[in-house]
Amino acid sequence: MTLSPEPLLSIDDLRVTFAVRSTFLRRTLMEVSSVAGVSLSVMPGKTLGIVGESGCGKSTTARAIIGLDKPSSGTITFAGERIEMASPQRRRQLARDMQMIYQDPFASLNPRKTVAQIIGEGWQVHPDLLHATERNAETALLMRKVGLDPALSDRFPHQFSGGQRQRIGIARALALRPRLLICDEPVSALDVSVQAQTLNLLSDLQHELGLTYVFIAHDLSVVRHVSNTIAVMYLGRIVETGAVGQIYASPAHPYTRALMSAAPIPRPWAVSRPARIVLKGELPSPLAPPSGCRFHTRCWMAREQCRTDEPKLREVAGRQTACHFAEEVVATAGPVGTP
Amino acid sequence: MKSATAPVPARALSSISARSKIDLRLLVPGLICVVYVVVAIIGPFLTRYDPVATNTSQRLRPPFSELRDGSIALFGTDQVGRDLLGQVIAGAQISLTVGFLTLVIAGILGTALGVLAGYRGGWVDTVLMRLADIQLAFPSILLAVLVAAVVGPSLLNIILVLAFTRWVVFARVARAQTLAVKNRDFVSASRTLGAGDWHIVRHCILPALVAPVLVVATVQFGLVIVAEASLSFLGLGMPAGTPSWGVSIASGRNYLATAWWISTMPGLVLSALVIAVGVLGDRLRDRFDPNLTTR
Repeated sequence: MTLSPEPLLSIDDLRVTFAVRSTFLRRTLMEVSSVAGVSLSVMPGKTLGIVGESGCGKSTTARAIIGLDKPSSGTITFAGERIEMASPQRRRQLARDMQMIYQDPFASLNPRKTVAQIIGEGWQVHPDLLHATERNAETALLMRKVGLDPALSDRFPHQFSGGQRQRIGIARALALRPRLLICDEPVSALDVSVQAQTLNLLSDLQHELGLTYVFIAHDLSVVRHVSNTIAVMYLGRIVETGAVGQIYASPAHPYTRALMSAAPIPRPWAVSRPARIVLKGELPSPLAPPSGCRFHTRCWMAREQCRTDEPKLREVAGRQTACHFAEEVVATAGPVGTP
Repeated sequence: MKSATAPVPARALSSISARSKIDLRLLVPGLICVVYVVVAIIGPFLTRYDPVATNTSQRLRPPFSELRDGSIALFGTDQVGRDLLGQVIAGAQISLTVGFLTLVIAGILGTALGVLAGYRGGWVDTVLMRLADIQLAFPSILLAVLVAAVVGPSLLNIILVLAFTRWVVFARVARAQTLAVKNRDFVSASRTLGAGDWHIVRHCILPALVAPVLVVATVQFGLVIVAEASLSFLGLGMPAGTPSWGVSIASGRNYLATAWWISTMPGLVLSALVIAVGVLGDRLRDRFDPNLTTR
């Protein structure tokens, strides 16, 4: 696929489990798997999009990669190095290679620090990265790079708009010159008009700096715009993953199809599109995931096999999908009746 | 990209003009506090107040009365003829020292333990907060009386005793604020940058603690001075003969019907300071809160 066959980041069978504890004596009552066996990989310089509804484990996956949540099993390999059990010292070093952009630009900037202090925080933590005398110039450079006026560097975050704050967050992440940038819903808290600007900025920066992105979103059109490959998650698992063009053209998993049919399109009257698939019910609780295929409780194609056998990711029509009847889904492309 | 470079002009302008304006609510209580501090430092040299000198011919003179040597006793004289103004000025030194040092010790100790409890969580939190609960269930003045009675009256002892009874308030506020801040995204962001615990406490948590701890401190300042006065009043605070507002108020108790000013004058001075500190603290809190733009 690419010149470099070695992925920059690959995750194998990642599980992140949280204990649900009683308030009395803190005994573990049960465990909830936010991420239940996820495997992914990203090539250098490419973008992997992760989509799925709220609570499907997208953000937990991101937090596990960056080291904020401890994986309970599975491996995370970054540039050939296993990092899932990295020591705190090693994590500190790894921070230079991977950074994160947060969803809420109002919560992710320290309200008591100026823009210059926020952007320069990484150099405080890693003083050897940049000599103290060069930091002001570098701050100005970074601000210009993300489209902010360097003259505003002594302002506080509350003096900026949401889009500007997100740019400050991007500059902070870039200050450490990372190779991998994990964007956890970086535009979903922004106005639609500002979303496009921010996405374009991210894509410009990717070309300029050769960055690799893991891009998490629930907005399908956003993910399509930025990603090379995508992974669709449902209840802690990946249900379908592959090249973005293939998956958007003909989804092979019923859940992906339902998602696609729910995404708004620019000129609905100009194109014929399959009927909207409305999923019934709610996302099941990850405390008690359904047996067999985790999606069977809401799937309009569910059969007996789906209730008992758990589908594995397998190659169907050029992408990986986890559905027993993926061929059927591909074959019935075109209007699908609502359940 | 260019469109994002413009600042938010209206808000920026208003905050600049507000900053250059003189803030009376900060200035007035601030000046009052400065006057108290200055008087406490240089006052004793100016008035030459002698706490053991008596002048029985001039006893129980009301405020503004002219004494035999031609001077005017602004605050009157007490039951043994000592000038009350001199007494209050001399007492300011003791009361301010006690109030300030007690708050510094209790504030540092309480904040440190509160941050530790909130940040670490787990058994550290449980042990520290249960200790705090036990102490809070006990009336603090009773605790102070108990300890003061055991260790005996002296300036250092009274400061330590009062600090010991006050750390809990700081610890609880610091812990609550730490819990509120430590899971915010910007703390995760710092951790993502590779920051260690000490960096996060110093740069993310302590700045967020300034405002609430300051408010607690200003409320406590009044309470501590009153507590010192109460202990002295009970004879467990400053050694007898040492001028302190509490001692002055206590000594005027028997003369309230005939010479109201002996207790009232130090009481008014004390109240004015407590109110000024309260207003000042409230204002400072607003200043320290970056999100309050109505400066």
